[in-house]
Amino acid sequence: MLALVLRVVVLTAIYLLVLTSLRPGDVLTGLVLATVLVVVARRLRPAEAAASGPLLRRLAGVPALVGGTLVDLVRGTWDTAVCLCGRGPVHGGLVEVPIRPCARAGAAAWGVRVGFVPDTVVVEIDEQAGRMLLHVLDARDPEAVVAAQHDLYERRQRRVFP
Amino acid sequence: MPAFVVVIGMVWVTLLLVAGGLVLIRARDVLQRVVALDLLAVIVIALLALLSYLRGQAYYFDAAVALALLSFVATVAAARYLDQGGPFG
Amino acid sequence: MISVVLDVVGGALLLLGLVLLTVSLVGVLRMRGTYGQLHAQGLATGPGVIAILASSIATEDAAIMSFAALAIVFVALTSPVSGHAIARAAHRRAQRDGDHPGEP
Repeated sequence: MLALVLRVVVLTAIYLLVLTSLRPGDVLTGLVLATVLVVVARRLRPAEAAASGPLLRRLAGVPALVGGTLVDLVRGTWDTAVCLCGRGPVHGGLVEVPIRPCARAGAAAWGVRVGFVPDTVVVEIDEQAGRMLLHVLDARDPEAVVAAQHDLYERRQRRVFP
Repeated sequence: MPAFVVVIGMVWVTLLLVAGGLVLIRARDVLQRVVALDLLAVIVIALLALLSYLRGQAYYFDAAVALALLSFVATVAAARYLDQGGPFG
Repeated sequence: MISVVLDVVGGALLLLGLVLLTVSLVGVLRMRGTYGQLHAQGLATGPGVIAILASSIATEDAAIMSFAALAIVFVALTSPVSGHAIARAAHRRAQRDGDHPGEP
């Protein structure tokens, strides 16, 4: 129930942000539209998030996910800029990272979180087979890349999108 | 923000837009053209944001968000099309 | 006082974003492989444009700032997807044609 209310509130907030107005009529329209959307989506794809743990614990992990991704972003931006100002990704290559076979939301979170940082490009991702193919700037040590990605998953993503 | 800072930024971004056109012309491969077009869309978004700061009007951001949406859909559609092996190979 | 601080922060973010866009363009121009170009492009579509949009805090205008926040969220969610689409197309083409676009 809490998850549904949260979804309605977030959708209404996006609607009001796009309109940039806070008039009561607009708020009412947004609430009605968001409620209809959430109810219809629940009918079409039931029980998607049932297995991913209690909602409050997942929400508590959101600041770590966003803040940690920003830290990764700064570090990856610096690495990529230094590399591009030099000779470019001479040692660049493809590395296959095994991921736990997970729900579609988890795989999407993997892809967006890793692809957002410029020093890694997601080439293929397969949530059923549980593998992700990355292109990294320095592929001389594939084990280190895999270990670093798993470490980031444990620290940033696991509580929100297991 | 002082207006001259924004104007300098706009001149810089306009020069980047011209350079982006050069990248588009110099591209050797159709995928590189898609990359260059995506980059051009980002530069135009930055230009619209700076215009909005200069004029103090939020409406330019409508265009920026719409452009981001359009360029996202266009890039994904072009890449999916090339995936299947299009005639522009 | 607070206005001056916001001006300085906004100006610094603007400068950072412009430098990142420039580095990214030069990178796309110099790199020969598609993957190298994607790394360079990610510098502009991720941090570069976000820094420029975040410099809207210097305008102190609620409407502009809320729109900039919306645009930041939107760009952060879509830019990895479009980069992944291009990378996957490059990978599948390389597998089909038997050459390696990622090699410089």
